[in-house]
Amino acid sequence: MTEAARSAALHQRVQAAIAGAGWKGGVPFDALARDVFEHQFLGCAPYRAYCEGRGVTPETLVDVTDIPAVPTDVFKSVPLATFPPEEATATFLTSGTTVGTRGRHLLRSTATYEASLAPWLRRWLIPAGAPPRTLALVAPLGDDPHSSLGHMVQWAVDRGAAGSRHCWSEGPDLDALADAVDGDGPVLLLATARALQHLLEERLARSPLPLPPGSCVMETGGFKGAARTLERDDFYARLQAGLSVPRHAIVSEYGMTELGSQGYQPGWAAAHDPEVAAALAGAPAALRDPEGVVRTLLFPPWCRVEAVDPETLRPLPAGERGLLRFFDLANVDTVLAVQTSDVGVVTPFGVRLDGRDPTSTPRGCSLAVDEILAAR
Amino acid sequence: MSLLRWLPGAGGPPDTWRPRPDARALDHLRVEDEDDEDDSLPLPWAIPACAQVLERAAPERIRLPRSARIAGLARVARSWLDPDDPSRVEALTVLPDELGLSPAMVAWGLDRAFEVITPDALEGWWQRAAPKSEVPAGPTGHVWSGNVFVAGLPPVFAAVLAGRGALVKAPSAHPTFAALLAQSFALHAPELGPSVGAAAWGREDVRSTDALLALDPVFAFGDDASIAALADRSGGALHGFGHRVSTSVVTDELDDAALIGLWEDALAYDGGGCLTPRWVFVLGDARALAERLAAVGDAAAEVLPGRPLSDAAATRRAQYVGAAGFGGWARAGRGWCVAVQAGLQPAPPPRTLCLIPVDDLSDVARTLAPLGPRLQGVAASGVPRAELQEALAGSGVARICGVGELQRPPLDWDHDGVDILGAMGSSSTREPQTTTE
Repeated sequence: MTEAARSAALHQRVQAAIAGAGWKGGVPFDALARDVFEHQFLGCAPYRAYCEGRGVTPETLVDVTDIPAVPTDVFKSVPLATFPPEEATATFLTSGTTVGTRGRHLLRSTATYEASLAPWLRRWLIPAGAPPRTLALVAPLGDDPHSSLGHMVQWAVDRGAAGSRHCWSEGPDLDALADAVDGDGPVLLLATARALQHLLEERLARSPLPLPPGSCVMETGGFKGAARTLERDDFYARLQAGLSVPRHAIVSEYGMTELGSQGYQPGWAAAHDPEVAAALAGAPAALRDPEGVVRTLLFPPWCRVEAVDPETLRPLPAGERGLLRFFDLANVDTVLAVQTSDVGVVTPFGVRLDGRDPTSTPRGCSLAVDEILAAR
Repeated sequence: MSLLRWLPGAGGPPDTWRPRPDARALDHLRVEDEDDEDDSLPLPWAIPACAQVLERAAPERIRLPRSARIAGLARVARSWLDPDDPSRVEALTVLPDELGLSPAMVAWGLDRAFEVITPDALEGWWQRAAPKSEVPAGPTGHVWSGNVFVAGLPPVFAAVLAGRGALVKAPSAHPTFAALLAQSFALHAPELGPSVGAAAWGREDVRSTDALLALDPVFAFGDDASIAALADRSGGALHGFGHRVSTSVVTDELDDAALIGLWEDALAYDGGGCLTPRWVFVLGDARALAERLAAVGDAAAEVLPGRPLSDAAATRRAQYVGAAGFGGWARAGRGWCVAVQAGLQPAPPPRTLCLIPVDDLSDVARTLAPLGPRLQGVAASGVPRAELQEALAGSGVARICGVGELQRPPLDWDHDGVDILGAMGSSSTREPQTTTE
């Protein structure tokens, strides 16, 4: 079987598995993961060499959690795909940083990516069923064609009710947003945390912008690169007051350029779906915000997440804090096992994301070698 | 509460050898503060006050027979090896948290630093490098950095060996070891009179720094930018020990003891020192050597354990292990990491043995060339030292030694090529040199 044929068959199987999945399971994960791993091992020479260096091949694989995970930094330097990069129909790039190149996630087609994002976005942001007007404080896909977030948001806007639109003009267009919310029916506002911070400081600090009853706000992306950062509870409290939405209507989304699947906080869905509410009823206070809203992230059953020991990089038991590692079946033609730099705890009620410690820097008089080499 | 400063003649902790006569004499300089319950001078006044006391004591110390000074210094060093000595006990209690090192690492550092300060070593140093000019009475200044907490000891012992005093500025976040050291001189070598003072302050206290920089010479450890800033303000000679890196050059035929030696070199002080081998150049099968090193990684890290990684350090390390895995080969365990890669980058995280395969010694020199003359030490095994020294000419290397000895420099090592003991004279006449052991 050719690589292309193998890929096509796997895309079909993964899409079928997603279509048949419930929100808590129903995916033949291990069998699919083994086959996707074999496809990636055979089709991506750098990944094959990496796996062989770790002594893991499709033949020797014992448990799917042994599939060698690729750190996100590697996406910056290695073309991770089972197909020639020039055949990619979409290339998602990580956000620009001051150091290094941007990480690349090459997609042979966006079909499985969209098959993955659709049910999970609907489950957690549109639990009532009918898509509301969808407003986006995110650049349209045409402005930023390599943004995975842009792609996801465009998908949602395109499928929203009449009046759905991007409120963006070389940046968040707050006047356009004010005009857009002034209509009938609830809205789904999709925005980055930085755009919402801008909204708070430039508009809501002067006067509130009440969203229609039943509206929901999705924030994503954190405050990376922002001059000022806001403490999360304070951030949500100010959004709650400024947009006149209940706290549980503010939902955080977790997505990465390197992953085909996303995670969402379940508070909004729990308010609409008794099954979700019942499943989260036992969540301890440590997983809730001051108003009692569960603030874990839930990932789809086709995207497993585990925490690994920060030093040994071996899997940790549930409940222990470590670096998050994903096994995402939606990554059919790249690598399904991705090692992130995010710290968190995997619990029976979802993943508690702890973030990073930005102030910690390596110590030592020899460490300036990085600067020396960078200055060459 | 831990000891934060020990400044003979400036109040504060008890001056056990005499009851602070000089501090009373300087009371008119004191800034009165109703909330200040102790009677110590504020630092900008305390530094010159202490310097006066150290200077006044110097002539008598210089007149002592050298054997008496050596005996006192050796007694101080021995006290730090005594598990029941109060300074060591307090150091082992306070320093792990203060420095971010494991208790075992602190103990290891103390043992390695003080075990080389013996009467024979002190006498040998004097015989090799005694000041060639008159020894002034004025005290010497010492600026310490935090990562290798014992790095500043040789200049302090050299000063007192020559008969001079030593006034140490410790980092504001790491005040304890310098103060305990000064205390130990007072407790264990009272016959030397007030000889060592220590206090900690931050760079924002410019007046205290200027008071220290008025001393001559000053020995300063730290990053290049900090040393350049000190040099700009310094009135006298300043010997700066800034950013340097070390490496190892070995064949793939290391015996088991050498494997542990490589690990010790890499793990000491959590890999944060200028004598830490950042890369290990391997003549032969680097991958096979890496696998042998990984096999004993856990055992090595048990001897020199690290502290739990911060989130930022853990993520950086995880990303490195993956990137190195793609470029070559990598393994990680608790407190250790081994990688094989083709060049100096990606820069390995602390507590990593980063192996680079090379064909010959000229390959080593070519690979290190981008660093310029910033090489500090080289640990070698299976490689002719003379050829290695020739290949690395111009690299700045100040020390070539055996594997496992890199972090155990002898007392009289000319750190960065600086003739430390000779610098205690009114002017140094010796040229920097590389030592081979």
